[in-house]
Amino acid sequence: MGLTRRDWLQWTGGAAAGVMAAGGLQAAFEEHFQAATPAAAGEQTLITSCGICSPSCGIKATVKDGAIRFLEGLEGDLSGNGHLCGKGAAGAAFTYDPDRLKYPMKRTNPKKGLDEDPGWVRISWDEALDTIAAKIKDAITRYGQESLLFVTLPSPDVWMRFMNAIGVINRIDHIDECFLTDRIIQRYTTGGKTWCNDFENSKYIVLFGWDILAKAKLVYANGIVDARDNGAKIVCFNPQYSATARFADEWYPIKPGTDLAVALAMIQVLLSENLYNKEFVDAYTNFKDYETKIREHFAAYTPEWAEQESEVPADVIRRIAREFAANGPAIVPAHKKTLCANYANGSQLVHAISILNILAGTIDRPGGRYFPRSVNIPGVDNIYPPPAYPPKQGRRIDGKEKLPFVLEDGGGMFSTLTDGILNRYPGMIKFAFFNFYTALGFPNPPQMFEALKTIPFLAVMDIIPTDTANFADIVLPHVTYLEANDLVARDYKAKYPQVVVRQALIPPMFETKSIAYVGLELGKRLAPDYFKTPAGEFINLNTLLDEKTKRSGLGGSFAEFKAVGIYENKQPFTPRTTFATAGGSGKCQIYVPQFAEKGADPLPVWRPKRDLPSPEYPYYYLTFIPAVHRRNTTENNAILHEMFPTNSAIISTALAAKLGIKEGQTVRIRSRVGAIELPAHLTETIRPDAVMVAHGFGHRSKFLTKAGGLGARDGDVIPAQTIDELVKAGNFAGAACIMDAVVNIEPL
Amino acid sequence: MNAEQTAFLTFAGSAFLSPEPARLLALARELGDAEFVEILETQADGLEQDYNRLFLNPLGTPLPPWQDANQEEARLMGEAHLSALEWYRRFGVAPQRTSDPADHIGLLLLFYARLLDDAPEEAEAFRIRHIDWIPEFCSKVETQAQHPFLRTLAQRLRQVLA
Repeated sequence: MGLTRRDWLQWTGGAAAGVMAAGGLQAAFEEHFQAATPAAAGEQTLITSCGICSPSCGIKATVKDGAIRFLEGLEGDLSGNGHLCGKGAAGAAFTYDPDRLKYPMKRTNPKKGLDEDPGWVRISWDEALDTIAAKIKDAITRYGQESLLFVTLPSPDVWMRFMNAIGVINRIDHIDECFLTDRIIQRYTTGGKTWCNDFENSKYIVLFGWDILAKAKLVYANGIVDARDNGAKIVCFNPQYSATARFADEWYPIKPGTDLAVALAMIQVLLSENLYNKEFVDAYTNFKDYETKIREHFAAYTPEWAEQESEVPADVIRRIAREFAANGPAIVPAHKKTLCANYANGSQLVHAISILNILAGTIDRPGGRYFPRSVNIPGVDNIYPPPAYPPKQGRRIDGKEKLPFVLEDGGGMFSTLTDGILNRYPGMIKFAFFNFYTALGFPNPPQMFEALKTIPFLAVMDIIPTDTANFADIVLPHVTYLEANDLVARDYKAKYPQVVVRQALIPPMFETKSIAYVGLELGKRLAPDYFKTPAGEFINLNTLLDEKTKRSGLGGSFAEFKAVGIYENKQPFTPRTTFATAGGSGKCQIYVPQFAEKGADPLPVWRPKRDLPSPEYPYYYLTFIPAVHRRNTTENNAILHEMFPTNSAIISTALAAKLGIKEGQTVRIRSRVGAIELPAHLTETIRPDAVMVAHGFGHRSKFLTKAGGLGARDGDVIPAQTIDELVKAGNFAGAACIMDAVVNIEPL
Repeated sequence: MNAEQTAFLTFAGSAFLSPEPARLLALARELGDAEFVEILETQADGLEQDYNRLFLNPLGTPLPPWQDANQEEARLMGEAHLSALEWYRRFGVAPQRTSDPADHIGLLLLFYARLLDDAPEEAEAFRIRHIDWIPEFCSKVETQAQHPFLRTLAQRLRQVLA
């Protein structure tokens, strides 16, 4: 080596002064390099938790020289049980996606559209935040709070405080496609906010649709495998011979959208033959208060009737109901949208399923659905109580005031949003902020693109440049979960409390930031009184996290807890004897008087799905999310893209023969709202009156170099809904009907 | 490589790291390069947009300016990042921005120019590991850049490295 390390350092040190005198080229090196110690950084092992889907499996990460090298499961973690799924193992490919958003940018081309080049120019965070704050202030001053639209998750708490502090009335997230219906029904029937399924101790498991194994949430997949190992019988109703159906003891290719009929008939058998768990039902439910009404209500829902609707033989339904009663503990498990959001009769179906679990006597009992024993991590409002929030005034863009139970829930609705923007209140929205939601997540995305064009100012904060970002006036780059700090309490499998740390394995790359940072900074600019500590200083996110750690009993500081990584309190599981149902009876409610009071069905009534096959649209349309993808956010991940790059129209060989379709041939799928074209894939594993298409594909953003332009958007044939349609359908818990379409199929 | 050429490499590295026209114009004048001076004096508009389009959020074909992103498994923070850091460390330096990939074309060019000037016996090994991907990258920039500055920069850089 001609030059020693010391020479370089001296040169570097000396050059700082030389910059001014000598000018740019001499100083270029020093602008971008600094003196550093020559010792190589060793490998580190760090604990964190996955952020791809909600169970947040524990991760053991290997990090070297500021680069994430390997992710694996964390032993002792309740969610992943020492494993990661394909998505989790590929996590670093999100952080290291060359396509990710890196800096705040503003558009210089005012024309918006998927085929327009926005002409991005880089701006500073301050300019971005100042601009957004000014746009919000202007919209509120001139048009009121109702002119703001935030399509963002409710978390984190600092972001929610910002929403509340400026009086946002229109905050929408995907809950009507996911949590909403289940959450409303559980609030009134069992008092649960979230559920765990005790698969391991269950002896009889009835699955309506939920493809647990292919859904690839490890906590559930492990659970059902353990259940099988422990001798449970598994029965599966699904129009498709799914991964879980193959694994089950029995599978019935039910007619799409008729799960409710089978559930109602099972209840009818349990009641008419007095097979329900009398001890539990008498002690912990309102059955006796409404027994006559309940028995009369279900009497007509015989297995013979259900067979007509569902094509599941009556004797099978009757036998399964009897076995369900005799071979407990029994459970009808569910995971959010798997049951609630797919069809217009989702509210009734979730209610019926809740009744089945109540009649089995397994609510919060071994082998049943139980309430998580979770660590309650205090939020910012507990730690720094805010001044009173301003009242929320104005019109609701999603129309949810017409659905009192949805209104009470607090979230907004995806499925009616575009109708609100385009038809109900055109021109009302002047400012919108989208975080982590692309138009692909909405029913009928083309309608969403039209809606986006009508909004004068759109800010998008995301990790990747989604289709929605194409329409943004400002884009903000978000950190990935591997660059973020938080505390994650277990609530998918939580017989005892457990918390796993989420820690930044590496510092945030480029100029990426968290949504909490944006909430705080916009808050300082627009509602500073809400963002101060009692000492009068602005809230500091690190101090806040330290305070949460301390108050949750996890350690003296976040730094102290992250060194340990996992907390648990293996207290014994004590089944609940009072149930926190809304209304305050302390009991589980089979008949829900509060539903009746507000015009909803107090007991589940048979209602058909929204769109039924017709001569013009003779086939059922089903969608699914592949095991290696999550929603519509992972298709550009290099590794997951390689595993499952695009979608196809999955149809039966019988239907293909009838329509003259060959494997790989392009077909057009058309519904009353739109059409998609994609290659056919023939299989024996689906009903001959249905077609199935994977969700998450059809990104059109040219900024996504892997997923962009590949595949068809499943949502293009799914009708968005109007609030009046929901009300008319008795869809009182607001199911988004994301599978409720019928279609025509033609070969091209 | 002569001093003029290494000065050009420094200019190119600097340009790939930041497209600010006024700054580039000053550097081009210092370099005494009439072609770049003229482009920057007369056609600077749109340079930043084209830079962002090509290198930060690729539109159409991707041109991410990191070595790891130009390997078969396009990604950031892979083996080239680690290797570049190792090289920098041997000479007692590290990138100012510690959270970003160390194999940015601009950083690699600045470092390569420094090696050629101050430790030429090491330059060949560095070229093989960290520079040889650049000519092909330049060809893509030449084809896809809309702005004359970036097209010319890529073309001239390819010639210097040939």
